[in-house]
Amino acid sequence: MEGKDRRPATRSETEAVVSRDRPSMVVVVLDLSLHSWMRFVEQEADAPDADAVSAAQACALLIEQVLAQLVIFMNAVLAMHAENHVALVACNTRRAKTFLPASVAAAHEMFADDKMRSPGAVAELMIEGSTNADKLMELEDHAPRREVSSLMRQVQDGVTLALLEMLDTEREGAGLSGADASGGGRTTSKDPKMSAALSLALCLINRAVSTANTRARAVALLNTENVEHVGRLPGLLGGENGPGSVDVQAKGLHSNAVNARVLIVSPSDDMASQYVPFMNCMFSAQRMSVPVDCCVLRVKDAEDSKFFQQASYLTSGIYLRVLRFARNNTGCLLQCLMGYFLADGDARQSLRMPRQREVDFRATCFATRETINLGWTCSVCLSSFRDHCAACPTCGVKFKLSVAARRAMPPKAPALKTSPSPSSSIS
Amino acid sequence: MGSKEYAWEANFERSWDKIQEDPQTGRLSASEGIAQQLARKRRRDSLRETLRGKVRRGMMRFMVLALDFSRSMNLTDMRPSRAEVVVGAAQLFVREFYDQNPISQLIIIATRNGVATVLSPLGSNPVAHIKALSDSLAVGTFGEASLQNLLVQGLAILDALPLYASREILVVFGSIATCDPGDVHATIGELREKKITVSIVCVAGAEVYVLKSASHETGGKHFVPMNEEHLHLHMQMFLQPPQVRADTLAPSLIRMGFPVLRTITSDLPPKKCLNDLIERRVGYECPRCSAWLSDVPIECVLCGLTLLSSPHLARSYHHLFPVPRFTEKSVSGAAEADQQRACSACLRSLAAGGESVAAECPRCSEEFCIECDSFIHESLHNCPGCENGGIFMYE
Ligand SMILES: [Zn+2]
Ligand SMILES: [Zn+2]
Ligand SMILES: [Zn+2]
Ligand SMILES: [Zn+2]
Repeated sequence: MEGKDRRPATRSETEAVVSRDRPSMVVVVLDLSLHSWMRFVEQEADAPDADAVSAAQACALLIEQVLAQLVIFMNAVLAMHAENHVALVACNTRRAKTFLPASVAAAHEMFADDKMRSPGAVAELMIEGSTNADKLMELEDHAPRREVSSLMRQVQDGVTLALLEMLDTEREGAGLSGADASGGGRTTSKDPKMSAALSLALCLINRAVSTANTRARAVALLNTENVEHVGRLPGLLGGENGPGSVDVQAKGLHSNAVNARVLIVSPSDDMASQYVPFMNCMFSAQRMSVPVDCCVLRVKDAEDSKFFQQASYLTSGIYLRVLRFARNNTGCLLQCLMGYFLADGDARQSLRMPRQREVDFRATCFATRETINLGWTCSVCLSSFRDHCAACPTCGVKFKLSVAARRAMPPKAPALKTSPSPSSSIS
Repeated sequence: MGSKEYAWEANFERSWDKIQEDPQTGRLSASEGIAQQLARKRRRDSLRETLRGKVRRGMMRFMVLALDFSRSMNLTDMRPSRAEVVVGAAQLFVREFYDQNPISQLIIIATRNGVATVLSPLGSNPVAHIKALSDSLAVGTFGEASLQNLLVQGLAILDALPLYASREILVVFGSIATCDPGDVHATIGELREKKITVSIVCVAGAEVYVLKSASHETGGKHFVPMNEEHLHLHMQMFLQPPQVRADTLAPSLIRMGFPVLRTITSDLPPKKCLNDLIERRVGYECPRCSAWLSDVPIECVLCGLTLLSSPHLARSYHHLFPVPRFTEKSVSGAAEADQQRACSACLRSLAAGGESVAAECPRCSEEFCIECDSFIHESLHNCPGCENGGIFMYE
């Protein structure tokens, strides 16, 4: 892949192939870690009504407001296109969970992929009917369907409640802290389970994309009236992995039938303990051409999030930092959501979207979890460290160089006709 | 592959049935059958299996890709010609090499008319390599091939490079004779001494003694692909970082800089990138000497520090923390409890189509559908259940 870590120039070359009217699927990943949200409440602790309402209650109120705005946003996404879909995954410091679709049955209804499960099934479906029109009708019957009003209501009631419950579990968890260590995992980390939430989100997107691609190919095939070849074209109907997965990307076919994207709404700082799985998610999203939008909420002039900056940069998503977010100023969130994140990937090409002026590509030290701009990298496993060490803590290899040779590193490699590097005299 | 090892063993196939139009480029290509996909999945599984063992791999690689552009490459036993098939395979290889070996470097050399020349210098830009290959194909294939000249050139290039990286020569050779100025075995001995491995993919359709001995002596691999598909398969074997014997590599810590991507605001003048001398507003600043550079990865022009972005390194970390292979479990739609089982990642019902298969993660015991299993292992490289379960294996 050329320029793999760079923002892909445009998608104009694929535009000709892809119809402009692709439906979207938006997976909202909401970070519900309590201690991060508490910051917005604590900063106004000296306000007169601070005593009247306890901090925790104020926080719950704030999150309820945020949820209400997210619901408005999700409904707006649904209203943009008859076949648009939204999903919601939330995480706190204890776990990540999919809230929308709320159940297996709901997911089944949303993806409508029982007939699309295997390439064979589609081929069968297409041979069953008599005329092309019949077959198209049948495919239509199995198209994703949603009762707009019911989904909107579902988002409004059930999900809000469930999400608030999730908040409660965290509050209890915080109270128990170390006592519940056996149940909640060895480490009581303050990081939200963002990598888990993103993994769930991408699995959902993979399912949606592969289903939609299979359907789109089937329809395209039927429309070309070459039906008699259908049975003999397993490749066209997607292989065992589904057309949305790796083999399609390997060939560079980025024209997914669904315009899927992820929107992360998070008030948290970087999750240093999750760097590897977080980046794995981003590379996977990049391979699937799924933009990851990041909406980072901050109290004042707090720092940028290195993780989310890199995520947006790698996947061509939008990174936005909402400053001065507060309990009495929650409206600015909705404004940003509607203004920046509603446009789908196709529409964004003709809009002026916020560009990142700065992307922090500094590494995280594997040992101290510190951010470093100058470090030592193990030549065997590529893990980076702030300080020099005798053996690699990650892969266990012992480094052979003496202190003197180490000082001389790195050699002015790899020019063609240089003198042998200092390291080559040892060993 | 299975039974169809050789082209002449294949049944008469209606090859036009497999042709498919690439929607992006409009080019026609053969589609991949389900059997091939299954085979590919198994191959990946076994590769992962090897990785999980305590095999150390040289993540940092310097590779010389040496191609034969002699007269013998005009032969048409591969269509449209050997040269075109080999260049196509090489271009695909270059692309995937940089994707899977993020901080490795490649140099391409070629032999024609009995001498060896550098087609594309050592670098980390696959686009330049791919273009150089196409350009060279346009020049044509003529004269004799010289294995020794290729090896001598490769040796000269790799000998100057540091020992912490694995140093390899991959030769794709189409001639059954080599026109050498001296004793090729002396060169091979020298390569072995320098711990440079020579691997050979011989597209001449027959084993050639000197090629085989070159790879044997230096600990490399030797393949004789019988058709185009075979060739691609064998080239793919060299994408994975090689297993490293403890004595061949001097592991070391390398000083690296991780600069921040900055934009110069419009009230200040743009700065000249010290590498290509073009004025730019977007670029990186070397953390050691503050040189302004337009792109990474690069060796800082001023102080020689290797500059990269942390995602470059992170791309290969999934090799370090692989997701364990999921165990297959059958789900019969009959049992009451089975009806409730669903994939814990995508919520797909596991018993929907009657009898089916589920995949269970041995680490977190979560169940997944087969589609998610492939996705998790081939693209995501995270188990959602393990991420959720508080197993902080990265600490
Ligand atoms: Zn290491
Ligand atoms: Zn410098
Ligand atoms: Zn699944
Ligand atoms: Zn697991």
